[in-house]
Amino acid sequence: MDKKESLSEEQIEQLLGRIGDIPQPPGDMRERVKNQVASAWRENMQEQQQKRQNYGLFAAAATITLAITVGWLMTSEPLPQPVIASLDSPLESVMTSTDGDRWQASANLEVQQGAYIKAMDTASLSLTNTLNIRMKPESVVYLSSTDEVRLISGEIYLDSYEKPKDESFRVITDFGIAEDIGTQFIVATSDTGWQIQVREGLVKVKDDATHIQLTESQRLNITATNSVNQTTLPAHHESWRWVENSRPVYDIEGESVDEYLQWVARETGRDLQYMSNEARESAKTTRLHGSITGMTASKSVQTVLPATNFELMPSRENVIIVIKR
Amino acid sequence: MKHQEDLELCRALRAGDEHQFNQFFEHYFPRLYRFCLSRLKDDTLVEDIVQTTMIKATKAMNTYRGDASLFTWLCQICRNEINMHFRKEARSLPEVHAEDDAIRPILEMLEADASPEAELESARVSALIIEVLDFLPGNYGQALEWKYILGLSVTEIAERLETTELAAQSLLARARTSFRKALEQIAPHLNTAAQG
Repeated sequence: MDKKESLSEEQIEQLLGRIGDIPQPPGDMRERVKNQVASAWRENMQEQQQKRQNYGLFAAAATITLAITVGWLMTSEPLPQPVIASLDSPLESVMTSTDGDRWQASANLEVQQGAYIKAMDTASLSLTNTLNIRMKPESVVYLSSTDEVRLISGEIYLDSYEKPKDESFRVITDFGIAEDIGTQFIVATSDTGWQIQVREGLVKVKDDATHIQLTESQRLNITATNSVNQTTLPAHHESWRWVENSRPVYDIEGESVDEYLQWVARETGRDLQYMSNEARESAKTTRLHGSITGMTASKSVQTVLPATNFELMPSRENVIIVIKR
Repeated sequence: MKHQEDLELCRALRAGDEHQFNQFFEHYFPRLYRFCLSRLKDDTLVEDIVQTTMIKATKAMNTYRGDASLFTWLCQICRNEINMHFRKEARSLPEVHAEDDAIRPILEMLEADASPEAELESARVSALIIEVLDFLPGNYGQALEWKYILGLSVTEIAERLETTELAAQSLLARARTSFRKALEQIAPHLNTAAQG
């Protein structure tokens, strides 16, 4: 056998033979813990079953009562959860669930508080407080409120640029909490750890062992073994690219060239610069007409700008420079 | 890669399957006990934390997605509990993960002398290898323990697993491969040095 090959069976035997007995939990401890865990598990099962039964009974009662009196039903039916978000991407881009278990195709663009959402494709939804959430395919979130979302699995991007600066937003994961203060950021989670990266603004990261503030272009990896690794990542890095593909609908009709280019810059993580004040002022007063539906921000530029007096200058990767023809 | 067997187990637990609950407990309780014991050294505290971990896990089974093994997921909950305990106690966090350096003494273990330092180091390394065994998928760790620590024959292992000798041999071969890979990951230079 080559010296650099893996351990032989004899060497494994020798290695394991020297570690001695493997510690086992004491028998009485095993009994105590098993009783406690089994009891909690059964109690939880009963609660879940009770909820399902209540739901079934309620549904049956509601059906019967509906036949008797609509008025009674109106007072006994639980209040529907408020609508707190709307879907920007196509209906088929997500599945929804009320319990995180049974999924169904989304029936309309409105999303209620307390809904689980699973992205079937890149998906985008906007909360009523204007915060925009974009989801990578296969990601699952639970919409707790307009201030909080629970990331069950996968990767999401949050853009809070239209939300008031004094209102924070929390992303809760199994590992910890990321809280933004007016920013664009990504949170990703898996069974082995979580990751937060900030494009702009400030994000507070909290778990049992870590309290860190991240600013723009910083990325933090916290592994399941609690090791923390902080790196720097430019705002136009390719790891942000999927975000652009799940953009919210942007209607250019009646918007100024400047407003449109500000949006493009934000979507692509770049700075917008004008070659002259004249170009800037002109961009603010030139209005656009038409639609860019179906295009990413980057691609839309190739369609929109040729119809105007503006063009982009070749420049560094992180900057868009606009000149007036 | 999804851990389908673990996902199935979670579904069964959520459905209230008592038999699967017993399997779940018997399989994971000793592993979590060792995981916690190697970090805390206090049986009472270990009991509390493992119990809390398992209770929290049974209540949160619907959040397990199968992206990592169920044991990895349980260990994460356990780590959080340990961290929370130390935070409440306002003490510094214990070392909760193995650095590459931690396993390097394995290299010397095969030729260890009888000094107290060497024995201490040997115990530390043993704990690490036990943890590797616990993290191996399925019955791999148990099969290796039966074979190389308890010295059971393939026939006896097959009986315990209620399977054929051929299947037990095959399982042992896969378990050895998995063990080698696990060691290689945490100690890339182990093989060369251990065989040198």
